[in-house]
Amino acid sequence: MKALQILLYVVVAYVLLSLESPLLTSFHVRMYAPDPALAIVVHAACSVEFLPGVILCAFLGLLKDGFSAGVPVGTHVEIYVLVFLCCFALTRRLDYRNVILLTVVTFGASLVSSFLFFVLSAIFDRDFEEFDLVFRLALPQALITSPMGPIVAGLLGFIDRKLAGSEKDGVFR
Amino acid sequence: MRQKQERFKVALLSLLLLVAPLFSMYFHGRIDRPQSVAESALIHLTGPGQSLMNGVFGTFVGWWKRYVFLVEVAEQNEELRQSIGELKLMAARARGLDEENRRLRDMLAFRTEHKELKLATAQIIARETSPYFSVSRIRLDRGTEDQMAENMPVLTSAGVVGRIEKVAGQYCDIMLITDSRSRIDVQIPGKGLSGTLVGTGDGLPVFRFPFQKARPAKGDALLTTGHDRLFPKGLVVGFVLEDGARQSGKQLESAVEPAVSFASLQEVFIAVEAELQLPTPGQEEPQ
Repeated sequence: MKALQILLYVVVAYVLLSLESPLLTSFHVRMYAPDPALAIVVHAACSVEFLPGVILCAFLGLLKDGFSAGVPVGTHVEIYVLVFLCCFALTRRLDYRNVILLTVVTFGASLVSSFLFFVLSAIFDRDFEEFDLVFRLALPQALITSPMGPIVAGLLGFIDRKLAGSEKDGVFR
Repeated sequence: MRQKQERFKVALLSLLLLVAPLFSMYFHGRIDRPQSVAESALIHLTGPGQSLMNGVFGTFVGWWKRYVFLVEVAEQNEELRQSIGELKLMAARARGLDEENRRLRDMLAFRTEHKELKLATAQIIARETSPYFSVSRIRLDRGTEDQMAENMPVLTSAGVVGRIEKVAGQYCDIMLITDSRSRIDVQIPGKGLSGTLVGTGDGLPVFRFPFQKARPAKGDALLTTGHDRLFPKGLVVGFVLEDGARQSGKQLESAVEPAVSFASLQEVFIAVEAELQLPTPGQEEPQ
């Protein structure tokens, strides 16, 4: 069930990331792309066990690297695994499975993700020069990504319920 | 013990998943390196999905924009309509200017050609149309204040329009050559045909002339003779419409197309003073 769950999460991420580019190009907002894979990472932290979650995040990071042209392979793997670890640690103290908290946590995760992206690019990417752009877009990016948290959680929760064969254990309490 | 081993395994794997990307980034962050296997694999993995979604979404967006979301199209349509309207207006103005330019050139040429005539220009301010949509009377913006008088010939570069019938204040009315009261002495040069151009009211004027062998032909120009002491000699009045002539009482007559199109007239000349060059007996056309 866990393997299937992870596979379905990866498929959902693949579809959302594939859709992202034509969708944003059509609405002329390519600069402000939400990060659906990050929303999946946030959801996974409270619905998947630790090791499968880390593996899932590594896969999601690889996918994201594949969809993000010009980024050194491994950047998003590192970011998503670290964000997962933070969120997983957070779930020990706070059950954020409701719309408002999910939005807030996704917002924070997006800011952390931008910061990590900045640090990792500064260290490893010799071609990278757009440091100011990362900081300028971090807040808009977080604002756009945060609503994705509850939306993606709703979608994945539906998948989880279907897999579990029961609607009792929903993602939202 | 087993639980400890399990936790160690999890920690080791997690550490591996944290450290491996750092090596990958170190390797892939270098400048001027060949494309790696991982990059090729990722391109192969993500390419088909992007291509598929692009196609599906492109089709959907195209369908949406073409058949459903037509607000933009409607706005563009409205803008294009406005542009077309403005362009049509500009084209009409340009045509009008072109036409006016041509008219004024013709009038200037006419004035230069007929130095024997003292000409005053006048604008048409009103046209009276008959029930058959032909112009029956014209009013000009010249009157007694401009020394206009009855029976002064009204002309254009194309030919004779008529004569002043009434003058009052700043205006004068013109009796057109088509008016049933209008009579002008005319001739067809070269054929020895002389007669009178008689207006018929709403119909075309006719060229009435006495019995003789010569017959007018289609397209023959009718010129004023000056015998009527109203119109100067040698001005075009009209053109014969058909070959031959029909009998009308003791005379023959042919329909005539006026040289001037009254419907499109804008400006005219008034021959204020004309040296009426009456033909001498030797100059008269043989009958």
